[in-house]
Amino acid sequence: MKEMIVHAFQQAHENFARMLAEFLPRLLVMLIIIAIGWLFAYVLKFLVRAILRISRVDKVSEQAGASRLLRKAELPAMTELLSRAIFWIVWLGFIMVGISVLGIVSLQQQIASLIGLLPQIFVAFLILFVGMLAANFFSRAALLAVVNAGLPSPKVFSETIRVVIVLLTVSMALEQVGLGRETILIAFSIVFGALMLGLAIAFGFGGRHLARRILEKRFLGNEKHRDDEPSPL
Amino acid sequence: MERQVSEDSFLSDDFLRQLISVGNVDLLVGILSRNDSSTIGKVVSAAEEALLRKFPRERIALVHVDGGSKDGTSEALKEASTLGASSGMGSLRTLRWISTGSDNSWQPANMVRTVLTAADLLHAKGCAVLAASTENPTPSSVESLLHPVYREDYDFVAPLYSRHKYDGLLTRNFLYPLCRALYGKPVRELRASEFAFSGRLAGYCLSRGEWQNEGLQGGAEMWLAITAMSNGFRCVQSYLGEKPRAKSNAGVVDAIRHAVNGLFWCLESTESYWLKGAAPDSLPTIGPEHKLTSESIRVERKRIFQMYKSGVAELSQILSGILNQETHAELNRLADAGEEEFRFSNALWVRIVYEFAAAYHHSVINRSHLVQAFVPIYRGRVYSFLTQHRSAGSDAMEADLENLCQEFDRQRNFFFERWRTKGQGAS
Repeated sequence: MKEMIVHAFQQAHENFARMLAEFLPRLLVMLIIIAIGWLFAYVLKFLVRAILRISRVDKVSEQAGASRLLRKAELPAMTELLSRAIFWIVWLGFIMVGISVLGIVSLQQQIASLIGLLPQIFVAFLILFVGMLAANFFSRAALLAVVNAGLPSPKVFSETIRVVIVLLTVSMALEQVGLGRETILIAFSIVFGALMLGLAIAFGFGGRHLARRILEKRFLGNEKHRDDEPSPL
Repeated sequence: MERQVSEDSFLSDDFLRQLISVGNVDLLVGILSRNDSSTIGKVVSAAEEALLRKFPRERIALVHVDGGSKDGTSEALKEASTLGASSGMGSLRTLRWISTGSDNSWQPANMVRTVLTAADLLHAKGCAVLAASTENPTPSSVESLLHPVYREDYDFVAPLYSRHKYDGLLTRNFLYPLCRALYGKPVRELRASEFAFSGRLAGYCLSRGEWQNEGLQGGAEMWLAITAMSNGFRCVQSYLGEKPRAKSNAGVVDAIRHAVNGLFWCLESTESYWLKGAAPDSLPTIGPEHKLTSESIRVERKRIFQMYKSGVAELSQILSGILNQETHAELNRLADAGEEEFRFSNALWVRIVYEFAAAYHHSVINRSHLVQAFVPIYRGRVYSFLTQHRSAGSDAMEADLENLCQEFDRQRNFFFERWRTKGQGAS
């Protein structure tokens, strides 16, 4: 009995020692890969930052209104943001390769599926970013047009356009990563439809005189001569 | 025919054939139209009469450039012409009609460029551009444009008008004083639809590679004037008579947008000239100085004031990125003032104009948006102008304009500094 217990302990000890002997070198390799990855990603970050500064990406981003969005979200400037993103993408790639060296099957499967998702996640972020830029640009254009035309509630027009574009963008991004496709489609259809219906009803009740004037001006050309603003030129 | 047109393909083959068949001319008159069937007849009659009476021995080409009319403008022209617009040939064989156009809407710059190219190809000594939309063209106004370039060797003729004191307020408050401060030349009507130029200037302008630039599209006439001023060409102003009030105020915002965008773009393309600090210079004037009339007209001041107030409030975030903190704060304080005590000072107006120009140069936001953000501020200035000059006479208004010009001069160095280094928006 006593011998059996001692043997079992010896067996367990041997197994543990063998496992440790097999695991430790892998762990070391993983750590080395992660460290090399960090170094590589760090150097790449500097290179990307320098290239972006030379190509004056910050100026383009400022013009497009992206910088304002980033400032609002308390994010760094475009050059810094892109170089940091590159750093993390590259380093995460190395970390995943490192983890796969450990040889844990279930973890490897998870990592493989996560790596498989990476391009889609990247495209989804790209869609989100471009969508936010478009939302910013078009809502600003609408705000300026409505203000200069002297129409009421310019912010409502502008924010409605922003919300519609953001909704569309988010649904496209989620669709890209494959999260609840049908739910998103249905939710988007309902929200968008409700918004449009609401606007149509609001315009129908509140703006029927304006609509009439616009239609008369467009099709009958009977806009009365108004002298309310002096000619600028 | 080896001139600037050789590498251009924007002229149709038919138009080129017409030009070649004409040969060389002494004078060329370009008539630009777009849906002007109701007025083009008067312009054609005035042009033909002026040419027959005042330049009977010269070889002349009349060029009609249509920017995609859908209302029978070309037919109206042919009906009105007594000198062979329908056959392309004048009765004396020294006057020829040529026409070209586009089925789609042409940019105004393309229309001006077509006239310049025709003048260059035909070796015209002098050329006048007339707008077919002109309400009261007279033979003497056509002659007043052509005479200085043909007989007195000037290179650019800007028009001068007698007009209502409330008309042309952007010209009066912005284009004229800014141009005078930076280029040294007091051109009253910088963005005119009627002007004249020499063959030399046409050739020079065509050789410049700026025709495809978007900034030029809304203000080719202005660019032509500024190119003449900044490159040593001889410029003059010529009095053309009364300029009638516009029939409708539709398109006010577009007109402001194009004029502001055009001038800011011109500043950018000629910065090497004006950044040196052009010395003030006089400009010869032919005929009487321009006059201001003051018959009673209806202007909705209150609506203009409301549009200014709501515009400044609604666009606060955009303006904070364009103007510096102090200027923006002052603008906001002004927007809080009541109608009666509201006064838009020259100093503030000039500072805002200069800050907008610098912000345009540094592209702090999309340029089209930036120019649109200028519109409510301009309306504030207009309201203040209308209130201040309700009962002012011509002399008082001229004195006020002189003060404004001096303010533009005073703040010029501030502008140069802002232009060279990126300014600080409030945000």
